[in-house]
Amino acid sequence: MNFNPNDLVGILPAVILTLGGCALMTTEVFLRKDGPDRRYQPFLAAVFGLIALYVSLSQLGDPSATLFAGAAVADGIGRSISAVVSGTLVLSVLLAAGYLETLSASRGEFYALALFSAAGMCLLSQATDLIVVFIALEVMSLAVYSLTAWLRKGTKPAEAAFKYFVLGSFASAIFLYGAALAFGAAGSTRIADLALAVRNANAGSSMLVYAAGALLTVGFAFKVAAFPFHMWVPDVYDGAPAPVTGFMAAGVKAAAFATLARILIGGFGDVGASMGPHGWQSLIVLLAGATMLVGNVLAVPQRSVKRMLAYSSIAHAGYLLVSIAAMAGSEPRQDAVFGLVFYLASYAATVIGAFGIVALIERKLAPTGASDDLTTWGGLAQKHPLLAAAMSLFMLSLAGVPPTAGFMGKLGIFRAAIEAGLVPLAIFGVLTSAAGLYYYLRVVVYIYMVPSTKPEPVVGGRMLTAGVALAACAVLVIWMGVQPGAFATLTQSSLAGFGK
Amino acid sequence: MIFAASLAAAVVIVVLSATALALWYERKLAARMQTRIGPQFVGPIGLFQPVADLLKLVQKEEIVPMGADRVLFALAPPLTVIFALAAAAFVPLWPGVAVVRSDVGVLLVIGFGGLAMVPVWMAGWASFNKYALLGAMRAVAQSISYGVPLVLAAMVPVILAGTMDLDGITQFQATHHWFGLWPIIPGLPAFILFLLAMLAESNRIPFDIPEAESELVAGVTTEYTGMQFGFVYLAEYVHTVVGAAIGSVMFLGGWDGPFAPGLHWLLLKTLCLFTFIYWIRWTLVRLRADQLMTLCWKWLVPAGLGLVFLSAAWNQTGWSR
Amino acid sequence: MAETILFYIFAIGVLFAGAQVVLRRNPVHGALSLVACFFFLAGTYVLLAAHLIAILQIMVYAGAVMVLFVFVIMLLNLKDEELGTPRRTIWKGIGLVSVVGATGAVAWRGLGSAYDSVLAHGAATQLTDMAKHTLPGAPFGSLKAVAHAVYLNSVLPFELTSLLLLVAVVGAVVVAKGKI
Repeated sequence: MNFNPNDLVGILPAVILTLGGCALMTTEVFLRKDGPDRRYQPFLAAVFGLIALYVSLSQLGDPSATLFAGAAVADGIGRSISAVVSGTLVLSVLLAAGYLETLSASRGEFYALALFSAAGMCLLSQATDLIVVFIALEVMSLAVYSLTAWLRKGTKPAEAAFKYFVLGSFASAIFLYGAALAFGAAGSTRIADLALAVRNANAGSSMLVYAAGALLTVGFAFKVAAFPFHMWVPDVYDGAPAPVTGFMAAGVKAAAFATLARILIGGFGDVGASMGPHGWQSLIVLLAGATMLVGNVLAVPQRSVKRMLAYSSIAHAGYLLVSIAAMAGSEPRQDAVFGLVFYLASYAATVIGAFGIVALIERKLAPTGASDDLTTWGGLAQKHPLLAAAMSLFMLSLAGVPPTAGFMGKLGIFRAAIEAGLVPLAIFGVLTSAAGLYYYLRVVVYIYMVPSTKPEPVVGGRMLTAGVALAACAVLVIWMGVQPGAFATLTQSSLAGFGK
Repeated sequence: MIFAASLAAAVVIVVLSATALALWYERKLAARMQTRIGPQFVGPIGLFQPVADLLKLVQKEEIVPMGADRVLFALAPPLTVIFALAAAAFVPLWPGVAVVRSDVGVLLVIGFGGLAMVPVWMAGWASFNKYALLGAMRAVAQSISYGVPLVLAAMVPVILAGTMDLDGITQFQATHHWFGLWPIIPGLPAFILFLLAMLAESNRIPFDIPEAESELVAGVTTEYTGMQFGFVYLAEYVHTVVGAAIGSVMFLGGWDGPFAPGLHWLLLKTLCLFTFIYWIRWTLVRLRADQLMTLCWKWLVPAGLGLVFLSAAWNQTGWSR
Repeated sequence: MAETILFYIFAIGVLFAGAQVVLRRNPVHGALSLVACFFFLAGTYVLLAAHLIAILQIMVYAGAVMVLFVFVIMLLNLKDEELGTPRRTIWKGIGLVSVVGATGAVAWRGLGSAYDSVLAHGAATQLTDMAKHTLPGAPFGSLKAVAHAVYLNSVLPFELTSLLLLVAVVGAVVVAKGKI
């Protein structure tokens, strides 16, 4: 029962990221008052992110271990998600470097908050106690709220941050209510004890368990932007600085989906129970179907690429929910878990790349206050052929066209759904993603076929770090699409110790 | 049950009469310091002066200002006295006896001390007067800020004695040393820190900016008249008396003393501390608001943290066992 | 007997003050009602012999957090006209009925019989678990029991909370500071 320092090794990625954040804030103190040189900061943050990435990858094959008396666990999915989150962080800070410098909003706290938020995400994916889940969720969310508000000048960021903060707090409160009811049913906040309570639930307490499960799911549905709780997404994604949006779309989704899977499978997954997996599976199926439909339909009329990507992230939350629905069972279905992790990794690489290019456009537009309408993308191919090619690649990957990462991700998830017997849901998913082709390809059409209306260059500012990050994203997208087997360790070790 | 109730009644009566005496004592003391004589006509050597003051206050008309929040305005003064008195319930009077014994006595005392700010704020807000409001804001800001070093200073005896039970702390001092004297390094500075923070919590000079009469007329009490004013005034003295008692319990061994330990030692030590506090009051000038906050956050809080670490280190050495 | 009477006093106090928090139009009254509500809640904790929880409730919530709340409300200085006129709409009625209905349903169906079973086996094992985790002679809610729960059983969430506070402070300063 005593504190065991070895437990810290299990949460090492989060510890490294936290230390990185503290280091960045400490160095900020020693900067010169007049004209401080902050160019080292993104690289320092990226170094800590890379160390965390290396640690979580090197721990991938280790046996799973219970940490801190059952409050957290070091298992496969936690490590995979930590790796995805650390990678997301590295790419995002590199993209943010030039962006913030161009808009002269560079400060150590930006990177520190990003590191803290990534630490929260890692811990969230490892948490097996509802209290830890809640606190890690708040660490992640509070940091992301502040990052959203980073460029406060103008009404859009303020609106975005406020909306995100208020609705996010609301979601946290709903989650907390669910956790309280779960504690009432189980007498403990550990997810394992919750599973015991679900198994032993009788006619009376099953109501409590149902309510707890529903409220916990709703809390996470807010965070991952599933259908009835998606209202905040377009405004928040649109108002936040584009590198932050990419970080948010990839990182928050990865951590929140891993935890949702852990709570549903680990806590409510008992087949023998009267309200076992079939109880929540139908709920998740409904959410998934509605989310895919709404996200794809609402993305169609969007003229701003950033807003379109926001709606598309809702649609992708729907696809990810399909994999959660396909997992249902006391033992999670392994192809669904693989599908989830692979999809999260591929979506992270793709969406960070896409928002990274949006960030390059936005750098130019932000001082004028204009939105990145499709017409501003016109002629990108003539002026920046490499950027145009990368953007097209990311759009194709988001649409799920082979041979990109998005295709392999969708393939994995829909195959898992069919094997789990959710054939109508899989067909529905394929149909909606086919509809998505329209608005993704429209961006490609504008990039290549519509001439620029303005003489000045489309993007601005220093490009080197952003270029490196975008190249990494593009390579990852193609690599995951062509050779998904190379990522087998990442996905397959994710099953170790999960759902026990 | 009946014992506790009668003890509680006795403590209330003792504290209130001690407060009345303290009023007289302070005026005499202040007069001596300023080469005056002080009250001398009412009763022998002016001893009944507080009674006369009380009678005067009771007779006066109670005025409620226009625009005031009547309920809060009326509720605040009695509450200040109640909260100030509540802390007295936890003071160990003689070995093993207090009105309420709790394993978190230290926290309870500090908590009630901090809670005393709620009625002060209520009074300031309900008065509908800018001076009262400013005074209340200063009082609350000061109380919240100085609550931090107060708790840190109080943690030193708690760590050294290994208990949060006030009687346990006193008993530990009885068998070892008084914490104000030994171990001298965390003990004495912690005692000084405790005194400073307590002075600030009870808004005494040099920390009495909430009622700085040159700027704020009389702070929170500006609009209060008659007995309502009396309550607020009384509460401040009760606060000081009880604070002095708690300081002597935590750092000066409480009821412990040579020959026969008991209540008389506690009263004597409380009197000494009280004298010391009023000595400061009539000697020093008040700080400015920003100096007050600088002193708290930049000096006292770090010092308190350091003392907590030092006392933990002292515990590890095991010399006090 | 005395405890029962005190319990009802505190319970009614909590409910009455809690209702005032929602029903009062003046935000200062609402906030002060919340202080009173916390105070009565602390009273019920004392009845459970959990002195530490009670005093933490008073120190942290009634003492510090609420005073800051009241401060902010006061500085915002909302006038009656800014608060808007109260209107009775059909939606408020529907909201009231559905909230009361849902709470009633959970309380009736869920808690009513669930607590029989929890009391039957759950709570018994729970209490023995607690007894195992706590020191001998340290009853539920005492300083030692709470310290053990916080520093040993829940050390990860406890330490994580410090990270949360750090993030909250940095975030608040970054968002609110005039010039970055």
